Amino acid sequence: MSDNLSHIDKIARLIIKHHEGTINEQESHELTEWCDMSECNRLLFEKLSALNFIQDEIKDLPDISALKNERWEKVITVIEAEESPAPQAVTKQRLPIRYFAAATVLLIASSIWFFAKEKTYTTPPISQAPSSYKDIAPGGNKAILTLANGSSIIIENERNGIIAHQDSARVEKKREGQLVYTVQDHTNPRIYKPSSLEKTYEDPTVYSRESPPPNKMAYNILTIPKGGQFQVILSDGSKVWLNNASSLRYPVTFSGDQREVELIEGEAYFEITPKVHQPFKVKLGKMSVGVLGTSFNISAYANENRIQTTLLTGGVRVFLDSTQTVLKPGEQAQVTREGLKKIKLNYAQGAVAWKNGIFHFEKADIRTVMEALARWYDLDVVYEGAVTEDQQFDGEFPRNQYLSHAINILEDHDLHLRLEGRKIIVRTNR
Amino acid sequence: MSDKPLEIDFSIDRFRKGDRDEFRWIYNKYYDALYIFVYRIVKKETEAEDILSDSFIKLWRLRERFDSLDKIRNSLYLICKNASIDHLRHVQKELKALNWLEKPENDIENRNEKITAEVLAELAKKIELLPDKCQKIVKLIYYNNLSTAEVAIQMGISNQNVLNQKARAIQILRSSIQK
Repeated sequence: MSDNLSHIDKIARLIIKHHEGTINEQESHELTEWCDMSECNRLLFEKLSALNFIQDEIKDLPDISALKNERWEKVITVIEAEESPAPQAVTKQRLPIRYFAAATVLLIASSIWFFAKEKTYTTPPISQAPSSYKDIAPGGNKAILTLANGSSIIIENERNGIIAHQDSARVEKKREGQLVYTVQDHTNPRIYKPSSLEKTYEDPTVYSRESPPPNKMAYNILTIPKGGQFQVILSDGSKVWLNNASSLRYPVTFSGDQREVELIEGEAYFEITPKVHQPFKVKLGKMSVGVLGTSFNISAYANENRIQTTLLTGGVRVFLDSTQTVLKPGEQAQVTREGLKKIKLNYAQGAVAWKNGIFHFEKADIRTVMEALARWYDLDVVYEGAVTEDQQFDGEFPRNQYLSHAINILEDHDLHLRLEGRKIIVRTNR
Repeated sequence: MSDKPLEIDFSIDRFRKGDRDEFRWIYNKYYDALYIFVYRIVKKETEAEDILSDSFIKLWRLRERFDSLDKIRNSLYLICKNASIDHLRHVQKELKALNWLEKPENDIENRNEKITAEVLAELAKKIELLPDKCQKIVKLIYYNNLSTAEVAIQMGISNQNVLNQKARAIQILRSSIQK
């Protein structure tokens, strides 16, 4: 193994020296010998000594030394979080997006101690947490904001107030579960330097150094993990409620002749501020929804094989490739593999029940029900035995209850559910 | 990369006992090449950064298992590679385009990727070490393929000045290699 590494280092060093023209005779000889050893060696050498290959490869690289230092802080944060005996302290930190999962587990673990009172631990062993809990708390207001420069903020860890400045907009956490974008005075875009910014990883000078680039819009991404939900008010006043396991990309301020956002995945309810001369558009892969001012819900989870757009008020036009359809209130557009179709709903409000804290199911099969629970309680679903599609569920129950509440309801419907850590095992009685 | 034995400022014992300075040393030493190694697979900056951070965190968790720096470095390469493969699978990219990924760790193409990453990291680092003006000129010439005259216009300096800066850059690059 170590031979392999010293070999790699040696050849790399010889190639660099060759590249820079500082190779001596003996080294040059060594390199030639190495190249003669195999075709593969020679080809690699030719590739790595070609200036245009080096140029192509290096020119796209980010500033590695800068991001290395920036990332070090995050690595240390995670390590400290893992080694800290008090998991609550952990969640105060800003964590990069990928560590969110780990942080959530800790957060849940700490709430579980509270409920699993019969077992007492002096210092909670974090790694054992999943096997020790009996019930799972419902989701809550959670979101991760990814700023234009790629840095991330875990919003629920932020105090209410301004949490970032993006381009000419101010990003403010108004209250729990709500993020508000406000366009600020162009002439003095950076009057604020809130203390909460000190530990972010963004360079506050990035957007103020030059006047805002006119044709390059700054985009933010709001990502809602499993077990989360959040509301964002965009800079035009439009409101978007994001359900669990969803992600929305939007410009921090809208310019040009249309307002366009992208629902990267998941479910969102939109209340769009009417602007006749600047229509609003939601993009979603090949599909898009064009609106003037209206409220509608889009549900697009990858594991549910259809995208549903439900209109509550106003009017929208749903585009898919070259087809399109206009929705009236109470109608739903469904995009499936077969294409685009429109149906009339008896109860359109059901589509946005989630926003009001309710699970709503209408002729839902077991998978649909379980997936919805999995997204809110952060579960993995395992099916034991045959799962019939013909059993249908209708009904509503609250989202703010512990998982056991939902389990009890479903068990009354001929289902056996067993919880193992965060895995829920489903067995039908038939 | 250095001609000196790598272990010279590093104590594996202290690292195993949880010394973060030693961990930082490893991090600083191997980050650049590993980043390029991963970036060439996943092609996305943020993903590459995440994979690197995760890999170093994983290394830290496993620190007690290592008895040499070579094993650490080999493991880092392996952890990074596996995480990159996972990432590609997750985004459902074909692995075929990078078929070396499916070959065993001691395969020659695996080795070649590591050599490539080490060479690129070293060259990139050397260019970053140049004084600002020099660096800008080198980048314009080598990355953007501009001619001396074009660089002179862009930077508002004379042709001769560009040539001088370029010569200076080459000299600095060379001397840094000989060190």
